[in-house]
Amino acid sequence: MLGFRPTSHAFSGPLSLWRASGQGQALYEMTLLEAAIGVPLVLERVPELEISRLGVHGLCAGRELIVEQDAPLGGPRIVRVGSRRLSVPRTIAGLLIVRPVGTGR
Amino acid sequence: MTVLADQAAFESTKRLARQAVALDRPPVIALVGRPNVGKSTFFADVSGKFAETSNAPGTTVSSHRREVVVNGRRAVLVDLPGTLSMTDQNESLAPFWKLLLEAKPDAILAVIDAGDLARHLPLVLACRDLGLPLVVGANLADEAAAHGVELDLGRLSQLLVAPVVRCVGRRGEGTRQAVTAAIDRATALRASGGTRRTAPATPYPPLTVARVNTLARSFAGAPSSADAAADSDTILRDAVAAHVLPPVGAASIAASAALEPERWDVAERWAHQVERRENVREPAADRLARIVTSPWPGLPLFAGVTVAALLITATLGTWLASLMGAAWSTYVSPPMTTIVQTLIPVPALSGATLWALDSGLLAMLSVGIPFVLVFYVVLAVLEDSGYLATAAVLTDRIFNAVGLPGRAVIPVFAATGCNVPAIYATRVFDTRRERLLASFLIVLTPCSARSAVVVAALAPFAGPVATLAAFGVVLGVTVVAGTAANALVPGRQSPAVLELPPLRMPIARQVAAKSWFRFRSFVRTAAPLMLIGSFVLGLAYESGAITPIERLLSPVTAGLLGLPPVTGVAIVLAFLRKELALQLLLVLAVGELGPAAASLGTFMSHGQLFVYAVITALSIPCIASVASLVDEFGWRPTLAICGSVLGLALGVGTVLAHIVG
Repeated sequence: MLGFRPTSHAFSGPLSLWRASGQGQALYEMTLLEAAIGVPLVLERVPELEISRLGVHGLCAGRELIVEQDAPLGGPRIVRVGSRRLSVPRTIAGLLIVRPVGTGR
Repeated sequence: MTVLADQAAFESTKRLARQAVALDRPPVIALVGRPNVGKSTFFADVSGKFAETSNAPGTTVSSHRREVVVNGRRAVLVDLPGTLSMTDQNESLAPFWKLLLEAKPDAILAVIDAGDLARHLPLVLACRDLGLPLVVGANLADEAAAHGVELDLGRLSQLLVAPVVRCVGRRGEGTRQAVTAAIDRATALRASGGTRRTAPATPYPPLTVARVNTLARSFAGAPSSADAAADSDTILRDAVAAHVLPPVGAASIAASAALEPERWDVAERWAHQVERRENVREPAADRLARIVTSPWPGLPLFAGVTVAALLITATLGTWLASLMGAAWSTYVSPPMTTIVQTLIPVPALSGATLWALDSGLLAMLSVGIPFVLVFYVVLAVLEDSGYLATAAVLTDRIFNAVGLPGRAVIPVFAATGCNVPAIYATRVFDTRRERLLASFLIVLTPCSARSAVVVAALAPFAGPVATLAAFGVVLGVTVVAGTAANALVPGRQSPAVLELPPLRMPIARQVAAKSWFRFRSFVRTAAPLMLIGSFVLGLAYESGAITPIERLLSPVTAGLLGLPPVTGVAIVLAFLRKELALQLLLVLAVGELGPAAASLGTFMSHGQLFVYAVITALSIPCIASVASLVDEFGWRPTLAICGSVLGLALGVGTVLAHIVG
């Protein structure tokens, strides 16, 4: 739209995964590393190689989750999935694509 | 013809005899579940005997079997390590399904978290797909209720075609009922001669089912030849031939990669069908869990908990030690000396016997037992509350610096009790590199016996500040050595997701049972070594053989480290048990320097005590730790670890001797 490209949205920091395809869903996609604390999210995509390793923790596409905290000293992100809390290392969080609940599809 | 008929009759008799034996032996029930769901608590509750449990994932790293009698019926319970899926494995553990097949279960008791069905059902579905009789224990039902989650167990039972029992393992609710149901299922299967071993209707898409069925037909064929390689396919084929698994069960393992995503889909659907969630106020434990993992006040709290744990151990340990030491010296020592000298007229022999029975046991009572016992209680409280897993999050970045994930805090903290179980606990790490690095840190971590030596050698003479400073030096050396090892050992750290257990109020009965179990095993190992070691030492001393050893070691002890020569023998013999380092030193000093040397402060300066304490805390691990290192890694890595640790101890000791000696 007239060359406008958002650099951030209401829920989180910069949109590193902005896609120029024009599809609305991509607008809200971000990595779990970028997601703001306390915003309900839907896990959109998990890298092919990590599906089985993360799936056993309930981190599979379509699952709802919420970032609760960041561990001190730049440690892992603490994520609530269902009734359980998971400590997700930042390197893994950077690979998971999420979007806020109620956006996209 | 006759020969063939005889042969057939013989085979038939053999088969009948085998069946009779099989019917007579108690059924084997395998406990299966995700890590930290409470299988070991289940196991301990039903068997009535303590099993190593804690509120942290990965407490059970090997299988345990125990015969139990439930409602007058015998069974063998097998507690298997927690697993995330049937094919879950790491470099040190075989795939889970192999451990399960090794147990040869007649039925599976799957323990799940009633408050988190969607995440636990995939493993239950994998068990169901095996075609073995299945019972489900919906554990932690009290915590689920606190979160507003109620399950329709009847509906879940219908979906799974298996009994589902509501359980609260920590309080012993429903555990026996679940095991009884599993025994019933196993017995019914045996009585039917295995004909009821048919899998219930599958909930998966037709294409996936067709693929599994095709595989099942191939498994139903001939067993593998005797000389076939022992790959997964061969093992599964043999398990089918031995009637451990039906063909479809073997096929479900072989097709795990295709089935796993389907299981998660089914689990999600079924969980929605049977769960009723109500909005309830967030439980206090959840709010507290968030507080303790936040930078503020989480980090200061962590520092406070660590210091408090050490202070409680030191204060209570010192009080208990003086109490028991005084009681022994007043009431036991004088009559024992009289009796021994009367019964054994040979002075050298009676002297050696007194070294063992009097000095040895006194030293054990006044150094080993009080500190170890108090520490085990503190450790049990921290483990059962779930705080250790929280600490893993707080210390993640610190452990990353030494090439380990934050969850390394669990075995390393356990190592402050005893290095041996901590070395075995490194099996939860994914790579051999992480296991080696963690074991190196564990060996450098002072166990309760070594800590007791540091506290008992320094606190009464040089004060609490010197004691904390000694621990600080050991911590600093450990961090530097760990960082160096991370740089030197080839490979990279593999990041892993860690499940944080909920915080729970420890149950006094379980804390007491756990502490007592560990303490008893410590005394059983330490006491005989202590008695034999003291006796041998007494004989060596009475015969004058100690002096040449002292002289041999004196260039290092006296020359390099600036310590009295008598300390060399004590440090070397502490290889048997670390607490000997102080006990032997006292015994030797009294023998050499007279009764005035019964106190360390009379023949060693504060600086020498400091050097001695740090060297004892760092030097070669005890014989039991070396044995477990060899068992886990082989001789070469063990020698490399022990050599590095010894070199570090001597190096640090030499530097300290120049600074404070």
